[in-house]
Amino acid sequence: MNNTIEVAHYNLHKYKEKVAGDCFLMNKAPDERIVATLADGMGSGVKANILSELTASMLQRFMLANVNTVRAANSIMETLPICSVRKVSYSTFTSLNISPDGVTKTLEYDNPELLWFRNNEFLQITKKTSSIETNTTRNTTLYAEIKLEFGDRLIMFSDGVTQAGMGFSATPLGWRINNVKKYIKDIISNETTISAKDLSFNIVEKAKEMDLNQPKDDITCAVVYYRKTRELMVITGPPGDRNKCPYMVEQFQQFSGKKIVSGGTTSKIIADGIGADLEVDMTDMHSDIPPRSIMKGAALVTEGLLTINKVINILDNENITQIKDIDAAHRMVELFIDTDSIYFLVGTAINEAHQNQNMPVEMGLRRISINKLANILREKYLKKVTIEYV
Amino acid sequence: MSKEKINIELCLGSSCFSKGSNKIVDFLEEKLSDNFFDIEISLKGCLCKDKCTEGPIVKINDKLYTNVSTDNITSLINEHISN
Ligand code: FES
Repeated sequence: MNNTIEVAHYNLHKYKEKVAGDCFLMNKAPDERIVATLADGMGSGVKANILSELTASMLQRFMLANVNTVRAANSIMETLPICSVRKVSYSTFTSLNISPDGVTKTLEYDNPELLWFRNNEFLQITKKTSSIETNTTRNTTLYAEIKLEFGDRLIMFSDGVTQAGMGFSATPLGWRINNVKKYIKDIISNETTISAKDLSFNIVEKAKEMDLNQPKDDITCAVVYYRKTRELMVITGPPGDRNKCPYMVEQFQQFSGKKIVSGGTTSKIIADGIGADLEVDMTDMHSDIPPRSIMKGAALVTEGLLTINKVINILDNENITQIKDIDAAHRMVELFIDTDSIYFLVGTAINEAHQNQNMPVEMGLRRISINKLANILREKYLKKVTIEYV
Repeated sequence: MSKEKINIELCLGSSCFSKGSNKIVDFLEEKLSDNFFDIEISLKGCLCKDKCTEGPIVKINDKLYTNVSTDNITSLINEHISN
């Protein structure tokens, strides 16, 4: 599958409130569908929390089981407890059921409208309505089926976003949906590949700012970014059998994603094979990691095991959102973080020099380091990792 | 007489790097910015020269030196500066 459904959300509680009144849940079905629900319980605090959690988890269960959207909506409406003060049930919600091929079923109830963004424009979602009479009110849900294309985003938020800043003289009616849309459009046109995580964070932080940093309500935003899977190849180590060099070069040339070459000898093999210049970047001097080299066609060329071992260390320990000193290892980390699927092509030749007794211990076996790295990427960063030994 | 020029190529491969070639770079860059050698010097890094056991490896005007350190690099360069 070469598409990725990237989903992220960010939430802030109402000022001084300890529990969230909004609830966002996301699950992956066994058939790779992603289902996600944002529910906003009426009021705030514990009651809102229970309402929204209940609503979101019921919806998630229906969506996961691929129950007909209207039926799901009706069941929810019939079951939801009714607020005794206001005589209305509820928790508002937005729910999505996204197939890997982009076909997406949406279900909305009273949240700010779900936004669909493509190529710098918001698209209209043609929605159908379904009404259900409960003993107190008539509730109308909106549902639709749309087809996402690569690069599309779905953006949903609680009214804590649209009503942010309400009551202040500059924004008497709050931020309001059209201004939120304008803001989102600006962010994306400035950074067309902004991640779901950064976009949702950005929107919520802006809303908080409009509330003068003391949110008057829960503020939640969730973003779905439907895009091509980002693939990365890492070639490291000369092949055990030198006759396999052309194979490595060929793999490098044929791979369409970004490419990292790690190791001095390895980079020479590739550079020779593709007839490219290879130059050490002397501006990239750091005390513990050799500088990167520059080669056409590669996103990054680094030294081998010193760099890889530092990468392992960073991925395992450092707070990677606060990278400051950018050496070759940190550059490699950034490429890893920004990718979904990583293919390691690992040469098995043993470097005589590294077996020398003067060499630091961390220059041990490449295979061990790569396995460790692959495990961290899989387990801690949920990347898809494949390793091929040559 | 026109000013002489010296090309220095320093191995920054893993082995030489961990044996101190990075310190040689720092050392030389400082000297160069102080104009310590009254001569034009170009400093370039290179990848493993397959002489790791004898590293750090430095090439000055096509002559290869092994086991170079901050202690002996100055005199090696001086060898290339005619008086
Ligand atoms: S690393 Fe310098 S010669 Fe091998």
